[in-house]
Amino acid sequence: MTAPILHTARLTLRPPMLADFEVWAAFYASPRSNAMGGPLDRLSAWRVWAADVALWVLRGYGPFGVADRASGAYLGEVGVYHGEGYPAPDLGWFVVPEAEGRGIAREAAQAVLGWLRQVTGWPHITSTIAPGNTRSIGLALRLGGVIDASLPGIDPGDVVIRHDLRGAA
Amino acid sequence: MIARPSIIAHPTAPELLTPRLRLRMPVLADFAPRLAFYASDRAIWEGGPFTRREAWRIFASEVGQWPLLGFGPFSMQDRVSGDYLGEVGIYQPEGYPEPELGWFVTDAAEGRGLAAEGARAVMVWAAASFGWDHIDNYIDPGNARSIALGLRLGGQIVDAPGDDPTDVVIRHDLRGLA
Repeated sequence: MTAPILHTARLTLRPPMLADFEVWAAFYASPRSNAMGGPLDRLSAWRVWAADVALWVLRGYGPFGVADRASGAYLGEVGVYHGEGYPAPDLGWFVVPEAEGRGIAREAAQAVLGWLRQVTGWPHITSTIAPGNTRSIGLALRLGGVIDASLPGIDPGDVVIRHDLRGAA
Repeated sequence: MIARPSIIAHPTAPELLTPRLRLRMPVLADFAPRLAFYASDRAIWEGGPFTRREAWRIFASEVGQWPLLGFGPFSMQDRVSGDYLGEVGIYQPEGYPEPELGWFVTDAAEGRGLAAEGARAVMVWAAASFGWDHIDNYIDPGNARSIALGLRLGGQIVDAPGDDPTDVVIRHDLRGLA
């Protein structure tokens, strides 16, 4: 299975493609990736990114590439991550620096939450976030998530935020 | 040089059949035998042993080659019993100068010529699908078993770049195969 195409007012969510990798290689080479296990060399960055792309094939869900609906410009990634060591599928997001501060991640994440409500029977999905990543924690709460200390994280100290998937799609 | 296909005609592996093998798209359950290999001393020729997380990233990123590059690993299973026997396919992670032919068999499946049987099927498929005139193996010079298999398959050691500067590069002529 590959990612379906989802549209929002400003965005197209579509399967990740090879050209997206250059953005990820640059991200993992920069100090911005410190909160996500970086910095990483190109081979390590490829293994992290391509392994996430493979989730669609291996688990039936995974990351969407986020593109500007009008220009097609690559703006980042949002989707469901489930690598080794994850206790459960996890909702995550990433935007390129030029796309920050415009509500892009929020708009994309809302579309993915709507898709999950339609196609899965999951009661909830978590966002597992490093405690220092206050921006992402703020976004997860703005999406309607609640901090749930009873749920396991991935690394010690992770903030686990639970999004309810029951109710209206 | 052989190049990646410009159009992805194969976002997942097609099924290939040989007398004893079914070659198919990898599935999640195939990770367990790959992990057992990557965690063991047998993985020394691949840069291992590796942790569970590292093994996942190697296995899954290779599976991810199918939607991203249009080629990748095939899982090999016994055509009759369905037992998982190993993996054979075309690999090109970051740093590989060209798509590379590689193989792996489980401990239980060694010594039966299964990697050779799977590799021949993949070479025929690659020649027909991509029009490549050759494909290389990149093998650690200490991995005598894999080098012997590369030569038994008709390959020749060539002076061409591999992944690591010390790699033995064995080239297989694909002309006439398709």
